[in-house]
Amino acid sequence: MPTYALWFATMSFEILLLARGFYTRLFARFPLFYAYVLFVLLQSIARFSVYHWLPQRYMECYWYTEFVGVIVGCGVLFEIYRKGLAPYPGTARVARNVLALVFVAAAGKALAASLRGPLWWPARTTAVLERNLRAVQAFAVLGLVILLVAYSIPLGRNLRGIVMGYALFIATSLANLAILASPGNEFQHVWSYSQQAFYLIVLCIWTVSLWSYSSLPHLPAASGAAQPYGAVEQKTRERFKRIRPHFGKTEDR
Amino acid sequence: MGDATAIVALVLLALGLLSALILFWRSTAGALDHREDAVPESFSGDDRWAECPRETIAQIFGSEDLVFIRTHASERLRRAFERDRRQIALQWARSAFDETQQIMARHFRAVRSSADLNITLESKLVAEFLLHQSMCLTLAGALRLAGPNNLARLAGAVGNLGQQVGAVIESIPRPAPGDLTKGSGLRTPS
Repeated sequence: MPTYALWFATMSFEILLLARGFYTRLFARFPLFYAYVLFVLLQSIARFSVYHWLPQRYMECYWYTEFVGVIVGCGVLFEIYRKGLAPYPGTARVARNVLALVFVAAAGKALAASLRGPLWWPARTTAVLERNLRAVQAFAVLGLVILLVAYSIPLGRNLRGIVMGYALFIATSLANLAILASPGNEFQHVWSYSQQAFYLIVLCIWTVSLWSYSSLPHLPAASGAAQPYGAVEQKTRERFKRIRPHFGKTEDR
Repeated sequence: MGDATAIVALVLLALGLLSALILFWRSTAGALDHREDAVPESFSGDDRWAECPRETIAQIFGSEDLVFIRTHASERLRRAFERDRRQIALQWARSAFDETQQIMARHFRAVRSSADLNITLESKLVAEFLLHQSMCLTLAGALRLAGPNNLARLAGAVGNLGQQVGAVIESIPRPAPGDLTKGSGLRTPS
């Protein structure tokens, strides 16, 4: 019974989120994010149907749709990067490098694994494959969030909600996959519910933050955007140099 | 990678992501932005170090006062002196930590919109910032552990280590002045 209740609750939230997206025209502003939510809704309906009428095929259906979901989820990451960093070309460049580094490291690991065995990725099952892909996603989200915090990028309520929700979803998915990987754990049964409950929280965050349109905060006129990078970098370096002597050898003085 | 290692790595990654998320949630980026930008450069903390000259810091970490107190004062006064000096030194380390954080935050805000941002130079600055931060933390930790009697030696050791690492960071070649986009990896499509 709780399974059905959680299922219907998440589907209701997804429908509400999509309906609000159409009504407020946020669908056009964040097309990739809403495409992802639409995919998750269709995925939920498909899973529910299989669970109800073909329960013996459910696990198979779950892992295949989950795998596709991970790929579609990368669109959300791209949306955050594209929309959030559009007014900040400098930060966008750093983000591109960080994301490129994450994906190159993942590709390198896959390549190294393929040299050791016949598989292109060291995954024995779909669950392990999802675990690896989620880990790559987590590193990418982590890099992006650190950059957003470090460069104090004001995102606006809509995008901030998308980031919060998606990062929370990835973090709880990782915890879920870690528990699934531990054999004979009694906590697995409870966790399957808590994972759905966490997803419900994620949907609540998205619904609240995307209830209405919120414009991206504009940078104040005197934000230093006009200064060339070289000059700012030089100034910062000089400030550090000014502090450095204070760490010097004190006995010599 | 074994299953157990993978599980631990996943849990650590999830915790890292959650911590970053809490930081993200707590950061009041928009509000801070406007407040910082409203403050003129000359009032935004640049002169704070001038208020605490080199001699004062040498005095805090030096042994002259301690020797005098040990020779001429009571045990109770000596203990009070040591306690106070430790507090002052800790406060100094803390303010140095905050200062480097402010410098970096101001830098990030100033360059986030720069189209010519250079990744190599930015990485060097971040390395320098992390070096300063770790020096402050090491110093604060050592101050707590070792007590005031070894302050000078500790500060000297940390300073020397910092200077050595700083020199290594400095020795990383800088790109030519007119070539700031070089070495920045991927570029903005024109």
